[in-house]
Amino acid sequence: MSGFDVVEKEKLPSASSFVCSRCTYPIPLVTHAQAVSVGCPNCGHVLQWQNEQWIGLKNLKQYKYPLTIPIGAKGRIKEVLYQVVGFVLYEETKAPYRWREYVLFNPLHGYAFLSEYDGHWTFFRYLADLPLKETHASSIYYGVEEYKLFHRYSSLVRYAEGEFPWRILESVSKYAEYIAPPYMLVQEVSADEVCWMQGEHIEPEVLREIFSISGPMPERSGVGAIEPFSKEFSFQEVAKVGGIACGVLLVLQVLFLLFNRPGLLSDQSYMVPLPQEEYGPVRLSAISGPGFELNSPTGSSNLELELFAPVYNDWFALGITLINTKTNKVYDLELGTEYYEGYSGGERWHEGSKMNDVDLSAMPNGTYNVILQPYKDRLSRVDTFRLWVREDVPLWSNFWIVLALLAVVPLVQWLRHHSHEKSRWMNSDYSTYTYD
Amino acid sequence: MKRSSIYKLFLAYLALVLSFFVYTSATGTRILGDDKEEFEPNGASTGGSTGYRGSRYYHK
Repeated sequence: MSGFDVVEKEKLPSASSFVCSRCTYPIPLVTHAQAVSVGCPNCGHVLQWQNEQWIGLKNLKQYKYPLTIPIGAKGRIKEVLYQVVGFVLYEETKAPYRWREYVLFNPLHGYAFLSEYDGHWTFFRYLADLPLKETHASSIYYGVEEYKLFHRYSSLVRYAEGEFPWRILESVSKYAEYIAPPYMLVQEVSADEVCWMQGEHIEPEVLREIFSISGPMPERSGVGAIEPFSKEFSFQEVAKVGGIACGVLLVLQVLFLLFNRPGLLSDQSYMVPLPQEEYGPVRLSAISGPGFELNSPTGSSNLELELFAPVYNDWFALGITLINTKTNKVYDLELGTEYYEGYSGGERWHEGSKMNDVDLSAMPNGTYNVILQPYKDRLSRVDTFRLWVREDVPLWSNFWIVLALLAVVPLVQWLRHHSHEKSRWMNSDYSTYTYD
Repeated sequence: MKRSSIYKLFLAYLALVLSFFVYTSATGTRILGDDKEEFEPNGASTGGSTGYRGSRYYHK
């Protein structure tokens, strides 16, 4: 086999083999001389290369674990063709947590790893551009990303199958995991070396396709350490686009305020007619109100009618009828004021206002005649009122409603994102979230 | 970059909401409703009644 075969034809070296010294099971060796430890898939014995021979060290058959990806399976990850050459079942030394690692090998690119915990998969590769000394930082920067400390632990091997370039039973390593989903940095510190690996979240269904896995994938539980909230609809992306939309809304509102200034159509004071009835709330004679014309380029505009009446512990109301002389449509509305004040319990109080207004939505163009029908109490001393009519008054309520409509999706995504992150960090000793 | 369908749906929603805002602002339409009742010349009303209903204001 030539280098051309490896590089251009992507042929992997053919395996050599040796016989397990315990059960005589033929074990293939894809990594040849790089293999230092071997786990026999038949008897569960771990053998180690020392003194020019394979020495049986320990039998781990009692922890035998079914492999999701079989040894020897080939698949392309990040454009590199890997072959699965080993499987290790790890357990934390101080907690009963177990996870599984598949050792991947490519003769040009070396080793990589697939780690699975609670059905969440991470693809690891070695890094060579981080300082090779033990770190105790709570966060580190790599590239532009800040990686936060997620977990510190030591591990031991419960079961192994296949071939490994390190002495799997001898080395007790300490690990520090830093996360910036969907990425992770792991520092492994053993007695004789320090190394860094970068992991990236990988979906189970992607792995199933890569390695043509026909069996069931491990069931997913909870939120993975670097499982992204949503690749397709992330909170950051939604917040960015939603923020731009809110900016556009603000610009539109400013433009409408600049080019659609309110116009005063009428400002008149009126005398209140004398009562026609002797008792109770009285209806007075109708009086002719202002006349005005609407001529908006869009065919309609809003109207604001504002009333002032000198009420004092009293009320005053207007029935207002607008008649569009062009369409003969009639618009009725009510507008009133009331104001009360006094002393109660040694404190002065007041409520109501001498002014009030109404907004009329989308009034069609045309000439309008207005009829005013005043109402007041029989004993009321209100004898005058003032009425303003304005067009194209800024509708700030529209702005706030539309702003809320634009913000609702980012807000929902933020709540979901927050819940996702809280669940993620529930598995960490370094969480900043509080849990009930 | 290929966008997901839900992302495109979100963009369409934003565009729809902004277009709605432009329409309401240009035509003077108040989203929250109206303070008037409208009557057709033949007597039909948008509010289901005809004529002035009387004052809401009564002294204490």
